[in-house]
Amino acid sequence: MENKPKRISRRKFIGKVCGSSALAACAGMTGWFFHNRRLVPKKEQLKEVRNFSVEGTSKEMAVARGKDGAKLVSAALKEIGGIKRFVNSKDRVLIKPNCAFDRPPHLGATTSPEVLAEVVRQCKSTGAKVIVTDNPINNAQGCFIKSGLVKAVESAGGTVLLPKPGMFFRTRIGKLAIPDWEVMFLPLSRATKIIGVPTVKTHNLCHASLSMKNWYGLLGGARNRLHQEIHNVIADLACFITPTLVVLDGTRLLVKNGPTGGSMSDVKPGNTVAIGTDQVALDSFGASLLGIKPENIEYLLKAEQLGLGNIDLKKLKVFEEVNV
Amino acid sequence: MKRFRIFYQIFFFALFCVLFYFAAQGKMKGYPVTLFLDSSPLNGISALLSSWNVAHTMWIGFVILGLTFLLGRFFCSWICPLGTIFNFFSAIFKDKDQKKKVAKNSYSKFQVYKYILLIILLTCAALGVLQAGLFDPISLLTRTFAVFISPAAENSFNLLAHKSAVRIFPAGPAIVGVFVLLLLLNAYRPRFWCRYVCPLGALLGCASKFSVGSLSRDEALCLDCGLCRKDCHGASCPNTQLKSSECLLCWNCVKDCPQNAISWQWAYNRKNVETKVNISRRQFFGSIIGGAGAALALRSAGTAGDRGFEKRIRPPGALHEPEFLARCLKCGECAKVCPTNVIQPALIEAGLEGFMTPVLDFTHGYCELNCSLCGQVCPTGAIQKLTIVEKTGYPDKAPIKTGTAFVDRTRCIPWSMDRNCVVCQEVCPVSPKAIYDIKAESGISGKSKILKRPQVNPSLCIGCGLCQHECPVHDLPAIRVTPAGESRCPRGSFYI
Repeated sequence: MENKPKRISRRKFIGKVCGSSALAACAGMTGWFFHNRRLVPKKEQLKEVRNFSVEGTSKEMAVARGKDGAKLVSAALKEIGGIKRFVNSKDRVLIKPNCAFDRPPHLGATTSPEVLAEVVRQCKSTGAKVIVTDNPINNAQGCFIKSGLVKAVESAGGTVLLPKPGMFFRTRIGKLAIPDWEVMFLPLSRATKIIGVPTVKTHNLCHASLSMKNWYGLLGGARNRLHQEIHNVIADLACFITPTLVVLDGTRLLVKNGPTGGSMSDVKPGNTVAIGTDQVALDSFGASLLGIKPENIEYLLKAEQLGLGNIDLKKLKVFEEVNV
Repeated sequence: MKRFRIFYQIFFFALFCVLFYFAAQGKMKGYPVTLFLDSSPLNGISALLSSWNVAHTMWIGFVILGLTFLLGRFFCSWICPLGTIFNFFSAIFKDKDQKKKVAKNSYSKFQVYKYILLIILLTCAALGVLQAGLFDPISLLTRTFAVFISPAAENSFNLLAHKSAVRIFPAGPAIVGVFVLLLLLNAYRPRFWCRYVCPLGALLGCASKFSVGSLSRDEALCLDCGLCRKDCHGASCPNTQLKSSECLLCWNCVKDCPQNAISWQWAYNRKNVETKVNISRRQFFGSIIGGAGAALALRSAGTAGDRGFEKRIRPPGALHEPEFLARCLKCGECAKVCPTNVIQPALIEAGLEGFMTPVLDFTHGYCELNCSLCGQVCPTGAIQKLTIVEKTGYPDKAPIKTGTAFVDRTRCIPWSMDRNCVVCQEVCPVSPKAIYDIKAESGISGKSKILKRPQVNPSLCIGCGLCQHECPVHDLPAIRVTPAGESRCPRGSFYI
């Protein structure tokens, strides 16, 4: 009887069997738990943006004419009832200027710094928080600096928010061309009021770039595709955003080679600022500033058909002040 | 037991070949053709880490892992078909001299490299970069069979019969070259891959740590002759402390021992079995950092995006690229099953991260409209299982688009050479056809001829490539498909 090889104790052996069986069971359970759990990745939920308009302020417009952009804004605001009708101290106001291109302000491709600064100052005077943003085609930081808008915003007490990839989500848009699209959703979801501050420009594809077209700067994704149905898209943008207020910057008009321009010869002084709550009407007014008949702009007709506003200014309450 | 092991090796290898043979049009009939790919726990765990999913029948790998926790690396010697092949070639290259044999089968510290590779691959997988399929043995073998063995076998069988089309794989030389190299390395060290490289072996080696039983040496009977080492497959030192993480359970030592001192012990003595994995702390953490670096390096090229990869046309049913790359095992099963030879393992078409992932190459085939075989065999669901109804969108849903065709008017015969053709329109399989024609008069004076010049309708084109494949200007076809407009990508279309 040879000595049998020394083995581990029975207790240890049972312990080992239990331990290894537990591990084996874990392996099996892992396979079972995750079985087809993510076979088809879940589809992203569509986001929705709220209606930013203030009750009882619809169908109103004020126009101011003169040379000083800041004075024009404060005069027009006074005419339409003052900023406190639209913004209060509890608000987070998102201001959307046109900062689309890498151009200095005098070339008329972007919103004037004086006009934007005054809008920001007015909102800040109510005690609200003010964020200014845009998603340009050119490099965002460069656009904001060279257009003079960073200086304008910060001197008035506002903050510039540059677009980042994490801000963009697929959001419901409109009814004609794009039911949903990738949009700079995070700042929109955090804002309680939105004020568009577009500048008045001709556009080689859609005739004029005014307040409805201005919301294009909130889009992300492959928006270069949208040119194929530009008029339906712009009408959809008006479905997407119902603003608190729009400040149409007509101090400089880009009358040739819009929307990018590039030469002083493309720009003409406009000496006008219009403020209102009906973006279709404001665009109608802006078109006439450029010498274009509003009925010739397809997206205006489509927007009116969708009930988003009025082309005929007689349907609105218009306050006018000249020679500021 | 050694006889049983050899029997099972041959049995599973034959099963692998048979299932591989059945992965073809008209032959599938519900057989589990992905059984071996599913059985690899490396595939299962890596795909789980990168995609948070265990698809279809990949739970089998977790069962194998579970059994390894109990029994040790039985998979390596009893089931793995690549192991069987390497075993066979090691036997061919076997040294006659006993001393040399023992030396070649002694433990080497380089055997730690497979653990380093495993940690790198698992770290990459945890970060969403799935490269484990490149090094998984079953995946590697399937890929090699798909591009070389299968077409070679088909061709030689048909040599005496009528001339048949040979399946072409441009990536063939690269894949076969690697395989031949691995075969030849068995001359340097037996089962070179299994000992030094195989990350699946490393994973199973780690799991063997907890095995309830092990091959163990009876010190009382042992003469210290060292004969147990002469045919040790795993180079696991059966003559001293058997390393359970390296032992492949081939049972050669049991047979070779003149004293019958080695046997399977259910409650083995800890003194005779080394359960620790021989990897230093530096190597362990260095591998994790290396894996993270590798993942970042691969992703830095933007391969998961949708810009700049005009030849990256994926099979129908493929998921959106980041999800696809997180699931594709590069196993080549889809390339094997594709009846038209259009699926090819990519070399540069999908970037470094997409190396060996399937792309459609219309030079060698086209995507048949009423076929969805690639999705039926994809083990991880990187290519989803589609019914023909889902794929074609019949009757009134949008079809799966793999891309869009673009007419090159500078090369198209009716556009630039004043002769009629429109083969592309004729073979376009969708109804209504995605290619319409624009009529023009012949440019040759005196000739009264109406030319039909093809034009693609992007909203109808599904990117199947039949047009490109059949275009008579065969060297650089006058109509070519690119991924633009593919339906798997939410923003893939250029057409609103």
